[in-house]
Amino acid sequence: MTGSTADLRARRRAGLLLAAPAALLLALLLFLPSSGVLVLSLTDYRFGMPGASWIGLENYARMLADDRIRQSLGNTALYAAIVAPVSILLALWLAVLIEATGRLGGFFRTVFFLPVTATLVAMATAWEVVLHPSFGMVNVALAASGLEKERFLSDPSLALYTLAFIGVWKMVGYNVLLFVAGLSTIPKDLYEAAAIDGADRGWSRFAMVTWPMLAPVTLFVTVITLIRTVSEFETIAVLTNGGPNGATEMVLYTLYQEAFRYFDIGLASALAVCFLGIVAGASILNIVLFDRRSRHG
Amino acid sequence: MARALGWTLLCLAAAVTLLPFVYMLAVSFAAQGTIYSGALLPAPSLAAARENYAFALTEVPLARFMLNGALVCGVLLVLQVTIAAPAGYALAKLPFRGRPVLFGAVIVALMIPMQVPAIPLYVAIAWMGLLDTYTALIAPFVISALAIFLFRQFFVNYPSEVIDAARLDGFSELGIVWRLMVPAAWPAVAAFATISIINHWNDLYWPLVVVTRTEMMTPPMGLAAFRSSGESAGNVGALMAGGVMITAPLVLAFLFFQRALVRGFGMGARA
Amino acid sequence: MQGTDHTMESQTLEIADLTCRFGAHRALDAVSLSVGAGEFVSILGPSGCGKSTLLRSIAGLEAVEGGTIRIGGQSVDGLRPRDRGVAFVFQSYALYPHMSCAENIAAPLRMSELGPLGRLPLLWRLSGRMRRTRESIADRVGATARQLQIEPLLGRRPAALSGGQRQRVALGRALIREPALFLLDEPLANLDAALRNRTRTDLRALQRRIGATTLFVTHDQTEAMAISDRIAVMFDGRIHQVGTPDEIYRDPETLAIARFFSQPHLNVVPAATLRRHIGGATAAGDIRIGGAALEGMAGVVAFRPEDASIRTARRPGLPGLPCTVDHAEHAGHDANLFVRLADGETAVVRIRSHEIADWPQGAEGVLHFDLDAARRFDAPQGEAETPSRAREVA
Repeated sequence: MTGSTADLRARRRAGLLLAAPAALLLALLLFLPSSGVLVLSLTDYRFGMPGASWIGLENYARMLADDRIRQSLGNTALYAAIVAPVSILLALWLAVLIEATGRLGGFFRTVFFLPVTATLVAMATAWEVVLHPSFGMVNVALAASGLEKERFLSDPSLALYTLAFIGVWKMVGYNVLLFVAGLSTIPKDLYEAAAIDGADRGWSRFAMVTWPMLAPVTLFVTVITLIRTVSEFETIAVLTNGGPNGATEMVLYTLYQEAFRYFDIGLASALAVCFLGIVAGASILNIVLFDRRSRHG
Repeated sequence: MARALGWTLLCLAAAVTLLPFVYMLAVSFAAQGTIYSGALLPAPSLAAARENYAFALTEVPLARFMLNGALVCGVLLVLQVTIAAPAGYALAKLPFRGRPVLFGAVIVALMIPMQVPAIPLYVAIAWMGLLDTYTALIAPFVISALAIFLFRQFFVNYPSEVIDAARLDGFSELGIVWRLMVPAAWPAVAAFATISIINHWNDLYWPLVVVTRTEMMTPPMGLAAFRSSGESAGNVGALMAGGVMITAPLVLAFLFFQRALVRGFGMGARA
Repeated sequence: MQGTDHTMESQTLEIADLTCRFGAHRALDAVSLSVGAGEFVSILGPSGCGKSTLLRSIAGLEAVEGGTIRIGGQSVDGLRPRDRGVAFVFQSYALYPHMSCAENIAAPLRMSELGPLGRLPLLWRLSGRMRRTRESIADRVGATARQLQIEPLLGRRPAALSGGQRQRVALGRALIREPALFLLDEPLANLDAALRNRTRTDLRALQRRIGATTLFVTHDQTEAMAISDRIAVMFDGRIHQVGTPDEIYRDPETLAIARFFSQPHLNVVPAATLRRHIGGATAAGDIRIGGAALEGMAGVVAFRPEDASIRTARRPGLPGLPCTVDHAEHAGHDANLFVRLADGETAVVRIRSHEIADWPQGAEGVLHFDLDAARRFDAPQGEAETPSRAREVA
C-alpha cells in the first residue's frame, strides 16, 4: 500500500512524534552529559567549589603523571589480560564439552549461567568467606593438606589474582552461553561432510569446522569480555577498596574515588574520557572486523 | 580417555561455579561458633538459621533494600519500555525526517558505558537537591538505547501489510504500537526485561553515587554497607543470610523461566 | 581433457536386512538392495520414507541396528565414514563456508594425505615430502575443476557462488576422492527447474564417463526415471519395488507405486463398480484387465488419464463407463478433463487442449480406457472396495 501524499505526511508526523520522547531523553540523559564530561575534563572544576576555569589538557597530564592512576591502569590491563583469555578459552572448551554431553548439557548450562544472574556483591562476599584467611574453606583445605594458609585478599602479591579468579568465575558462564548458542547454529551437514572427508573427531574436527564457524561469535565474545573486564568495579569496591596498597585499584574504581570521594571532577572526567575511549574503541573494532568478515565471507 | 578428561573438567568447573552458592547457603544456616570449627562446611542448624535471617531482616533493613530494588527495577522497566517501544516502531516502520540520525545515535549510545555521563548527571542531580531520592536512582536510566535497538530490530521484520490493514481498521499509530507491535514482540520484551532487571537489581555503581541514607539503599549497596559496618564483623552467618535473600529472587526466577531467559539474554547480547 | 578424467574402480554394493530405528519409529525396516559395479540406482520415495536414512547408513553417518553393508564385497560395518571409500553429496552441499572452492575440493585429500603437521600453515614448506604432496593435491584439484568446468571459481568462497556452482564444487569434493561409491542425497533439489534438468543430464554423463557406482536419492519420479539404470521405490522404511524405469512405470507392483508414478492423477475404480457398468464379458469374449478376467475380480482397477478417452456415445463392442463432465484444466498441448462417473467417483481423462470446448460442464459422455494398460491392485487399506464409506466410519 503506497497511500496518498497526505497519508505519507501524516505518517511522517506520527514518526516524529513517537520518536521525539526517546530522542529528547537520549540527548538530555546521555549525549549532553557525555559531552559534558569532555568539557569538564578541560576544567579544574571541583564539586562544592564556586566556579571553574579552563586549564586545557592539564587534567590529562596530571592523570598520566599520577602514580596511583598509572598503577590503576596497569592493574586494569593485567586483570583484563588474565580474565579475558582464560574465561574465553575455558568457556569455549566447556561449551564444546556441553554440546557433546547430550541430555546433561542443560544441567551444566544452568549451573554455569547462575553467576550471571546472581548479585555479584553478594557472591563476592561469599567468595570472601570461602577465601577467609582463618576459617575459609580453601584455607581449611590448605591447612589440612599441610600447606600454609594464604591471605588471598590482603596479600598484595595475591589480591589482584584473587579478583581475577572471581572475575573468571563470573564471566565464564556468560561466555559459555554465547558459545553454546553459536555452536547450535553450525549446520549438522558440515560435521557430516567433515566426517566423510576424514575429520570426524577431536582436534581435526574442531579445526576444520567448529573453530572457523565460531569465528564471528568468538570475536563478539572477545569484545564483550574485554569491555566487561575493564569495567570491573563491584569486587574491588566490596572486597578490597583498591587495596592492599593500591594493588587492586582499577580504572572504574579510581574514577569513582576521584569523582565522588575527592570531588576532583576535572581529573575524574579526564579518566572517564579515557575509559570511554577504551570501551568505544573495542566496540568499533568489533563492528569493523565483523563488517569486513561478512563482506569477505 | 578424552571423554573422561572432558567429564572431569565439566564436573570440576561446575563444582567451582557452585561453590560460593553452596557455601553462602551453608554459612547462613550455621551458628556463629560452628563457622570457626575448622570443618569444610559448617553444620546446619534451624535455630541458627532463624537467628541469622532474623538478624538480617531486623537489625539491617534488608526488606527495605529489597523493596527499594523492586521499586526501582519495576518503575524503570515500565518507563524504559513505554519510551522505547514507540521509538523502536518509528525507527522500524515510519519514514520521518532524521530517522537515520536517530538510529545512528542509538548505535553510538549502545557503546557509551553508564559511568561516563555519571559525573555530570551527579552534578545536576546534586544541584537540584535530588540526591537520596528514587528519582535520582531511576531518572538517568529511563532511556535505554538497548531497548530501542531491540524493539527496532524486532519490529523491522513485522509484516507491513498487517500494519496497513490496522490503519484501514482505524488504529492510530500509537494504537498500533501498543495493541499490535508490543504484544507481538513479547520475546523482545522478555529479553529486554531480563537484561534490565539483572542490570539494575545488581548494580552497585550508581546507588553508591547518589545514595547515602540507609533507607534509600538498593540490595547490593545495602549488603555492601552491612558487610563493611561493624555489625557484620562478628556475624558472618547473618551477612550470608542477607546475601542469600538478595540473590534468591533473580536466581529462582532464572531457574523458573530458564528457557525464555537464556534465549532472551543471548538475543540481548547479540544486539 | 579425457586424459585428466577420474576413472574409478567401480565397486558393487550389497545391503542385506538393514534396520534402523529412531525411538519407536522404524526408519529402515529390513532393507535389502544390490547394486552392480558402475550402476546408477535411484532411491525414490516421498519425504520421510527413509531414503536419506538409507544413504546415510551406507556412509556410516547413521548408526544401524541390524543388517550388513558390503562395498566391493567387503563389509564396512563398524568402519568410520572416512574409511568406507564413499563420497557423499549433501542436499545443502555442506561446503565449508570459510574455505575457498579449491580448499573445499582439496579437503578430503588434505585430511587423508597430509598429517596434522602438514596441514599447518607454513610449516609444510620445511619438508620436501610434504611439499610434493601439496603439489600433487593442487594438481588433482585443478584436474577436477577442469572436468567440472569450475576452474575460474577456485579462488572464491562458497558464499560468492550461485546454487549451480556450489553444487559443482560439492561434486568436485566428492569426485576428487575417487570413491568406490557415490552417494548423492537430493543434490538437485536446491536448483531451479531449468538448471535442474540440465544438471541432471550433466550428472548422468559424468557418471557414465567415470563409471562410478552411484546411489541417488530423490523424491522426484521424473528425475529418477530420466537418469537411472534402476530405481528402488521406498515407502515407510521399506523398499517396495526395484526395477528399470520402464518396468516400474509399466508394471507397478502396488497401488501406492502406481500413484507415485502417475502424478498428478491416477484413476482408481473398484473392480465391482466396473463390472456393474460394463459387465464381465462382451461379444468378443471375457473382459480382461492387465491379463486377468474382470469376472470375479476383487480390489481396484487403476488406469492413467493418458490411457483413457471420452466419446459422446458408447461404441458397440467396446466397454465404457457413462460419465458427466465436471471441468477441464488446460495443460498446454494436452488438457485434463475431470469427469464424474455414475457412482459419484471422479476420473481424469487426457484430451487435446483444443477439444476443451467440445466438453462443457454437464456434458454426458462415455469413458473408455485401454484395458491392457490398466492394472488391478488390492484395495488400499482404509478404503472400502464398494462405496460404503459411511458404514465404515460408523
